[in-house]
Amino acid sequence: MTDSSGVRARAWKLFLLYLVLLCGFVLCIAWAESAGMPRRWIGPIFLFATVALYAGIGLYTRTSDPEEYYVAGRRVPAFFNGMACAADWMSAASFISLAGGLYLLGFGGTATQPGGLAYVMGWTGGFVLVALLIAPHLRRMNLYTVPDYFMVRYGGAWPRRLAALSAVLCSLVYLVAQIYGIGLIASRLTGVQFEIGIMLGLGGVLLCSFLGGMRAITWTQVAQYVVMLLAFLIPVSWLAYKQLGHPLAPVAYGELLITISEQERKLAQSPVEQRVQQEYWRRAGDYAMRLQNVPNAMAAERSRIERRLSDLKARDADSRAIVNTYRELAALPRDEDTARERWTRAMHENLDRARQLGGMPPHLEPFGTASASDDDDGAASDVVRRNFLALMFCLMVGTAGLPHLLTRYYTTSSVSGARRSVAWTLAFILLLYLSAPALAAMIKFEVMSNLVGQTFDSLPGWILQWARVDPALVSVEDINGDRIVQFSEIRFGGDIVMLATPELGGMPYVVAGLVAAGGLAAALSTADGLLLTITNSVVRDLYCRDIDPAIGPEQRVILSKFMLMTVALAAAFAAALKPGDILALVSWSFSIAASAFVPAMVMGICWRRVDARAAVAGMLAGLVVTLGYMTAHAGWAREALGLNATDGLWFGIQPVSAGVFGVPAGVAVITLLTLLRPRRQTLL
Amino acid sequence: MTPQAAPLPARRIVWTKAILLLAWVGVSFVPAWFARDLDRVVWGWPLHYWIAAQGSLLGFLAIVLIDAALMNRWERAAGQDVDHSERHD
Repeated sequence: MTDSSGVRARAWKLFLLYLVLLCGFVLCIAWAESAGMPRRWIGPIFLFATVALYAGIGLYTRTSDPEEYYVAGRRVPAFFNGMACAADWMSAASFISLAGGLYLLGFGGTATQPGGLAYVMGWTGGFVLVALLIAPHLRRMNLYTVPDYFMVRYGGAWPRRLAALSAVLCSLVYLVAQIYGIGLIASRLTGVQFEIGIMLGLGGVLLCSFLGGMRAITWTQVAQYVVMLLAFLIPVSWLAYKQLGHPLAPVAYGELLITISEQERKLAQSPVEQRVQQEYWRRAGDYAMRLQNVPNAMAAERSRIERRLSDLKARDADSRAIVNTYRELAALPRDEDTARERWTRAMHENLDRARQLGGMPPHLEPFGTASASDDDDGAASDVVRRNFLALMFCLMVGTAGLPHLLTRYYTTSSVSGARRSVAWTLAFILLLYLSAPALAAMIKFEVMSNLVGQTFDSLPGWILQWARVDPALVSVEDINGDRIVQFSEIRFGGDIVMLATPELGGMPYVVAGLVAAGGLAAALSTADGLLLTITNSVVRDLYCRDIDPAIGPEQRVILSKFMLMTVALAAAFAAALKPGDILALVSWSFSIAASAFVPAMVMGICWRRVDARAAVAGMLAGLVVTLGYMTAHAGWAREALGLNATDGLWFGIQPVSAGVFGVPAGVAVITLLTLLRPRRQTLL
Repeated sequence: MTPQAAPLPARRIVWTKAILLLAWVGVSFVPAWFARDLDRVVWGWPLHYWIAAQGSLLGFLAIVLIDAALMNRWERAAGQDVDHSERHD
């Protein structure tokens, strides 16, 4: 016991010292800003200071001892392990996109885009499964990785191989989303290009996971959690104090929700908003006309621009106007397919925005009931509800299957410590998650009451700055030409709302820097854990067991580091292609993890009769169903088959929640194969 | 290892887990399914929104805490709570 309490006392001392230093650092920058330090220094200072801090911790706690490298010596106190788990768990999706998702999707999202509070419940409810069924059991078995469990429980090579491959697959998808988030923040903080931002952030990830394995990552994640917590709660409390007169946002925003509903009703009836919607409607109709005869429309478009060009030249107009027209000409779609694809997308976008509130569902409405105007809407609302529950199910069960989280509970010093650690994790996550819906509500109120009605000339500068990073993040366009901002003319991407909060709320720039640093911490902490999981799966569970069992420990470390680098670069390359928004990518990864791991893992824990054959079949069944459903409904596959967005969906469930079919498939196959096998054989 | 003081109450553990899992479904899936019927204002809060945004989360925390308290107490009584960090002296 002496050692364990010694570790705890030392950890507490260092932790409190760190807390004081961090607050001091933030206050220093705040003072420097008010004393006249230029704003453009603040972003880079936060970026480099925090990344240097994490790298320093990684360097200080570096190790090559296997027990330390894989499970941090199994002596992390439950409180700190909970904190590290919370950082590991809350990714760029939680920190950057959650509040934005709630802002855009309201209570339950739409039929094609499920979400809203399903994310809040899904990402916390899974810990009940982890605590009750999984973490203590895995901790008792003294394992090193999640595929280890499959090897120890089932024996044979295939359960382990399949588990390792699934771990790589779901972690890789997850990792791409994190690196995308890193690029987003780094490019905003320093003003460099998105791709260079990715590389900058990647350096930070590699520096700490490269050196110290699990031990370094644990303590880095503790540091990152504190940064995240400060970065989330400071702007939220600030905004709450400003709007509600009370810094504790989660207890005070009830009235605000009701005000928002009233405002939304007013906006729905406002004639100016309706004019904007009519303009979107007209544009959508215009695209629909073009789509009826694509070659003609292309030719017409080209000749129209060429005529304007020659007109401008004849008038000897401003050279900038001529250059712009040339650009328009060059940006025209080159062939029919591109034109059709681009115009179809534009048509749907305009149709979306032609609906009330720019296509956002009303904030409080459960599954779109209030807009029930025709008889069909009862069924449509049921589809939304089904999707909400399906997504929640996938996120919860996925939580119980994601390897990078489960391995974290191997690092506590006892089984009871693992249980306490899960409870701490959930408590630390709730500190942020209880505030996220409050933040979404406050932002919506801020936009409705302050941004709407301003003139376009007085638009704040941050909107333009963010639009420069990626126009999909934020756009404010004067649709009806009255030079006044209307609610339907504003469009936020989900990934921007949190990052823009400080500027939207008129806080000093140091808060913006802190929020960006928090987002970076969230993305880096998860990316570290994921990279370690992928590398261990490939090197420890696949290479060292199947290909070269005689490999020495030193070569193994070198191989791990080489692998880490390769995976990080591959993920960075994928992220640079901007493959989709963060929330969607992360949800896919949860569906995959849920259907690959959870049935075989939980049934293996609870039912002694399940054997290797049944487990392999169950994992395969889950994976095939989930991945099959996802690919069959991916955009490109649908286009190849000529299907609509909702054709061929089972019960109208969107492909992100494919796990809702994969998990039962896995459970059914395992149950069937286990029951079909005669009992005598099991006893042999 | 300390000698077994009392056997683990296996049956009670199974029942506890079953009840806690039912409670988990009860605070998450059930209110989400009936969100349309819960759409009313109680003490200044839209009830369905409060449950989904805060109530169920606090429920999860309570479930995890109850499980940890009970299981850890039973394991300690059975002499099964071993702290492995002692090996690292």
